[in-house]
Amino acid sequence: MHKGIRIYVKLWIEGEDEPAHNFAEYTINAVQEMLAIGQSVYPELEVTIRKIEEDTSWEDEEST
Amino acid sequence: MKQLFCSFLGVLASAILSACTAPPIPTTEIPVTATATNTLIVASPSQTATPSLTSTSSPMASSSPTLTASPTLTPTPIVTPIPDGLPDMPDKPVPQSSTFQGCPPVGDGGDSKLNMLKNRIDEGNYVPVTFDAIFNLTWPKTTEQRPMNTWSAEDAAAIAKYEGIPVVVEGFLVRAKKSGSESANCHGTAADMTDWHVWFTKTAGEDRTHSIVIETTPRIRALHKWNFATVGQIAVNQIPVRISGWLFFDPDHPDQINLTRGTIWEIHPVMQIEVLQNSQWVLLDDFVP
Repeated sequence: MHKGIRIYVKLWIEGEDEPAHNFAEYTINAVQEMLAIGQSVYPELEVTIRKIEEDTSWEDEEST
Repeated sequence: MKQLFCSFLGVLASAILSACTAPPIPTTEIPVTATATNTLIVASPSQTATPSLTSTSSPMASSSPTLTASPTLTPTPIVTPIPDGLPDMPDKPVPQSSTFQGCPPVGDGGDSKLNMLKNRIDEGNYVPVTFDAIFNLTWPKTTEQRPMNTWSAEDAAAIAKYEGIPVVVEGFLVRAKKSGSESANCHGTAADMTDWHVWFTKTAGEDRTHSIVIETTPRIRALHKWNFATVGQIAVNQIPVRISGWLFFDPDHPDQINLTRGTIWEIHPVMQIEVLQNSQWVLLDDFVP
């Protein structure tokens, strides 16, 4: 049976970086690479990344 | 230390691989001009426990606080306040900023033009305006959640009519929160590299759906002796405050209207906070609860 699922993942990434260096671009690239590497562990699954972006909605969480 | 929230959506059985890059990073920078000395205009202190905003103002009285932590003072035109409105200021001061803790005025990505405005450090001739004058400002819906450099000329002009006016407003603080990391502050997480979000209302005891968000930034706090706990106490004790800063439009959070804010117009950065104590306006720097 062929199955499909949409999965949202929220990550928190931190590390040392030069102040002016684009941290969003850097970490998004890193996540893409991490996924690409991990895919070989599950060759039976075809994973398609639809969107990776910085989540700036932390202000939305202040009401909770 | 930098931190970033990142979310991704994986869809199996999809034939399309979307481009997974960060939003385009504008390279436009707002030019910096030379500074000049000028006179700071503030509203006259209210003599009652509950301050009311009027359209009249007077130059600094002897009891008025002086701005002791001003990095620069731009040659803002002195404008006569308009009752219940905002002044017409076609020639606004050009924002000035500087690198702070290695973080340039444009931040480390995101909307560089917006970041430059958030990171401005110049002082202005703050025009007394009413809370409602800001709260009732409208904006083109097509600017929401879009980088400034993608706005239409018409939309940009509509925002520019008011954004960048130096204002001073009386009201009350509802709550304060230390913000998370953001591109304007180069995603720094240290206490001296994040903003404080403060919710500001017209009268005491109102909830945040009637608030204007006002933000203190690392660059400006470095020039002051502001204490976060004291700000919280002022909110809890419903002490009148007078806020000076730059009128700013934040297109990023329209979804929060009627939830945690009443408008996406802000005072950002906050340049000065005064607290009413014994019928005198006292700088927050000097305020002893």
